[in-house]
Amino acid sequence: MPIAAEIGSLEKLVERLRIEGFPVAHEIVQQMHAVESDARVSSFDDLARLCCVGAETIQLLAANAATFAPQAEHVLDHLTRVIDFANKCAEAAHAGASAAGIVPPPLLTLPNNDEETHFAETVSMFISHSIGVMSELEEEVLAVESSTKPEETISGIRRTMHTLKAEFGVLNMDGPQKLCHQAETTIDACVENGHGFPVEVMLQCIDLLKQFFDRLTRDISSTFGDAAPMIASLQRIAAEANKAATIVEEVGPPVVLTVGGEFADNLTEFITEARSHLADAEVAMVRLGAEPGKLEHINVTFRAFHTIKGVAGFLNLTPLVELAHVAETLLDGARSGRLTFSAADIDLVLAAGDMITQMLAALEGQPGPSTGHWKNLKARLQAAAVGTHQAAPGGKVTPAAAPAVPVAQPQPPMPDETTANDKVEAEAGPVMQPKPTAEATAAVGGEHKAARVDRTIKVSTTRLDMLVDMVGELVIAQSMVLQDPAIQRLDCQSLTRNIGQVGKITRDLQEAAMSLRMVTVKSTFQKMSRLVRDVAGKSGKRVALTLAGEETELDRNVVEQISDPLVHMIRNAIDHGIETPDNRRSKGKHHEGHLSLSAYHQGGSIVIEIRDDGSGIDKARVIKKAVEKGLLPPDSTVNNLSDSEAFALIFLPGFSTAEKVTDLSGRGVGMDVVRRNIEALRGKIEIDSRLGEGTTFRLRLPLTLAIIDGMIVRVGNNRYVIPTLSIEQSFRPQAADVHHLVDRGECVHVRGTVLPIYRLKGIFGQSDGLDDIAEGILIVVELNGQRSCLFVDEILGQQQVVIKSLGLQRDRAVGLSGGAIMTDGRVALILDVGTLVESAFSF
Amino acid sequence: MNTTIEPPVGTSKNVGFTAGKFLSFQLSKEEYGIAILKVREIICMADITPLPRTPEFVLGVINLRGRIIPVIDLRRKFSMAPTAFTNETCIVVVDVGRDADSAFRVGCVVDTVSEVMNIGNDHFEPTPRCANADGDYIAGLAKLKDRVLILLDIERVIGDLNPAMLEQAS
Repeated sequence: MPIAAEIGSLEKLVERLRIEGFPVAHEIVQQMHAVESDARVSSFDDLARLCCVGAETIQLLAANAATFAPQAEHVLDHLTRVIDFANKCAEAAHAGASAAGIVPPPLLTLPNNDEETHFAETVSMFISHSIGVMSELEEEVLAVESSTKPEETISGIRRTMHTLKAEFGVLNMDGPQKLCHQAETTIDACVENGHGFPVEVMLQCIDLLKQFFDRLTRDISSTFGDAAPMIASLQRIAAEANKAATIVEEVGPPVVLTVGGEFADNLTEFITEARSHLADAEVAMVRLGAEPGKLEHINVTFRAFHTIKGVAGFLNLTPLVELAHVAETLLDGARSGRLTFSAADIDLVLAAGDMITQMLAALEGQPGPSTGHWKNLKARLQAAAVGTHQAAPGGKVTPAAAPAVPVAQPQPPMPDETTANDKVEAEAGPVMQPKPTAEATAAVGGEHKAARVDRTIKVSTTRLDMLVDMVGELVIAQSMVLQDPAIQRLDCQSLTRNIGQVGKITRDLQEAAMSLRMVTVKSTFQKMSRLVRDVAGKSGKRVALTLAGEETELDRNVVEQISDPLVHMIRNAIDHGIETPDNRRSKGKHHEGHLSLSAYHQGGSIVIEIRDDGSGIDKARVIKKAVEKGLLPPDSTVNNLSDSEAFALIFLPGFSTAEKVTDLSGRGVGMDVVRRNIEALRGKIEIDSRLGEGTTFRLRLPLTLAIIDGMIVRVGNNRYVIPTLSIEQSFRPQAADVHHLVDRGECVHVRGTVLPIYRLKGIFGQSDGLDDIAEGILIVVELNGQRSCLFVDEILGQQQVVIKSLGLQRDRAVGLSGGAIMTDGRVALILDVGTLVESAFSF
Repeated sequence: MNTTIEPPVGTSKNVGFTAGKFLSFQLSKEEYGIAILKVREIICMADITPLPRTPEFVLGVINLRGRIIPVIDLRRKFSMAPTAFTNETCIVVVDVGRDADSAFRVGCVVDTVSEVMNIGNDHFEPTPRCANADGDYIAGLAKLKDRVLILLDIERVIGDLNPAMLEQAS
């Protein structure tokens, strides 16, 4: 009876483990595998599985003594049980009885209180992922308020909550799991009963979870805290919603999209193209809102829908074709001048775009829109195409009789999707006559097989940084080889050439590696234009948005992180800043408010500017509110706070000047979020505001990993990099132009103006370097309109450098924005002209 | 204290000390030790770019394979007379912090490194009471056969450079 023998050896090992500890662990693992294979032969499946999982887990724990020691008891306990179970199985088999009745002990699991184990890794992966998910979730919740098609957003939120719940469950985090569960239930109750999405409470929920993740990042053993009050308020809302159950909107099953036809292979291309067309269309529609009646925008949108319709026709995507068709009909009406295109029409077209986007997502395996919504939207589009707006969803459908469109009549909503709409398809596909194929694939509902779509991959930024660093080292190593005296003595041309070639390739490689992280702010900005439109509509204001500098490139991380603050600031600007049209007229302003969003480089950082021409921040009111809320001592007045001090108050948590909490703002959370996010990016927020004229917010973001053009200068033995952006000119001064002001330092005459001179040598307390100004070079730098001269020994050249952190606490390095690794592998310090000049006053 | 350092069970006097391997090095004839787990690598003296307006013991920054790290002079940090660098002078690169991503990495210039040795609980002796304020940097002493090793609490030594780090770790 071999298995009994194996179990016997295992027993002996366990005894040794009890005494000798860790060193025996590996033998145990081997022996467990031996028992496992014997168990398989004897078809003791439970035992085999126990041993397999046990062996793997012990192996993990036994990676080193430190991780194993605290778990030794746990493992011993488990092993004893396994042996007991194994013996019982063996006895049962020996007696000819079935082993099925014997209950196996639970599988050996990793303890969840040990930081060093696999568990910690899982959790930290989960945390880093979830933090992203939380901000997406928040964005989605915010979007529900302003979305024209909230249903999809809500189902997205529900899905996310559900996933979170499951993940918390896996990690044995009961509190948050319950919270997510209740949140899910509440959303369901509210939505099903037409009670409206519980935005407020969901945001609180998300905040709670976010705080939890924050704590977890700092300390993995953090506990969730008491979720009971939150759960209770969620339950209360769910109960209210259930009580106030009203008419349930007909939703129906998801729209079925079947890919067929001879071009089914082109699905991927179609999806990508359609997305870009839809993006164009969306931009055009939003612009049309700003410039009503501009034919060009309508044409762009029309073409987009037409193209999508055509290609979708080839692919037999009937529901998509029908939707695109009715949207096209509506647009065509506007194009031919038969209809005037109203704001409501824009909403409809945008909604159609959204639904098509959703259908595209459905083709990739995500849940698609429901038949009810699809029919509903189609009917509304059709109604709009004949000039009658249908307010109530699901009402009577008026078939459009649009003479300008070749198709005589768009089909009324069809309940049966499998009978292809021949008329539309024939119109859509003038070349091919597609036939719905029997082997229709990708029926869309959620869990179905996703079509193969090329995707980008997510790479951790640490790895990218590592790549960039290593390539940078490669460049340096290459130039060191090139300059090595031994190599130069060889005087071999082909070798020099080859080394040069390697150098070129490494530099290209470096550039490519750098660009991996950079993305433009374009997509973020475009998202904002949609937001502006929606928020303005909701608050009954007219707002025109201008975007500038969309091509500005920023570190991908930064771009992701500024999206949230931008949403809050734009909502604030519209809700609090810009006045209602009537109010504006009475103040003698144009009735339409103006909001501009721009991105640009300034002095080595990137600035995102949000400027509105609204009412400005009322300093007195801010101070009054702050006193009321106890954020300032009661005797504070306008006089004892500077503008910037007073404006800084609006970032305090809980601060809000809103008289009542609306669904747009007033909870006093938004600006706090803005501040925290920007601070997390080590950025700065500047506020300029004039009462009655408007407010400008400037987010000044550092270049975490960004390249700047720098002028390399030398002072004594040290090299410094001055960002070229801050430099106006440089010149060799004439001794006669330099003046010494008593107690005020020195200044120089440059083209009729007198500029102060700062000696880098003096500021940085260097003992070497030139003293005579006439021997060195003066560099005129400019920051915020202030010009001054920096005195250096000489200019070594100009080159692009990567800003790197000095690895120090920031305030220990005033006047420096970081370091750059030069071609010889040494570090040169990058000057921060702003703080340098400021700090020079104190020297 | 950093939670990664767990006092061994049953030795309450050894707070802040974990038995294990230590790297020993010399500073002005005295021998010191740092827990080997904190040491990332030992490199030769490199070209140091001075960092203006930093405490005197901060020598500057170096390029450690693409990453810029500050370098401190332990002699100056402990108020000893500075000496000229020799061939034996080297930089001990230490990591302070919870994990590799958020680690605060600093180079410490020492006169010379000696060896890696095992120090068990029975060698350990808490800091004597006569120690002055600098005693904060000392985790304790290790009594070896023929000499005494001063065990540095490198987290605290470096913590001076970055108080935020200490807050995070506590």
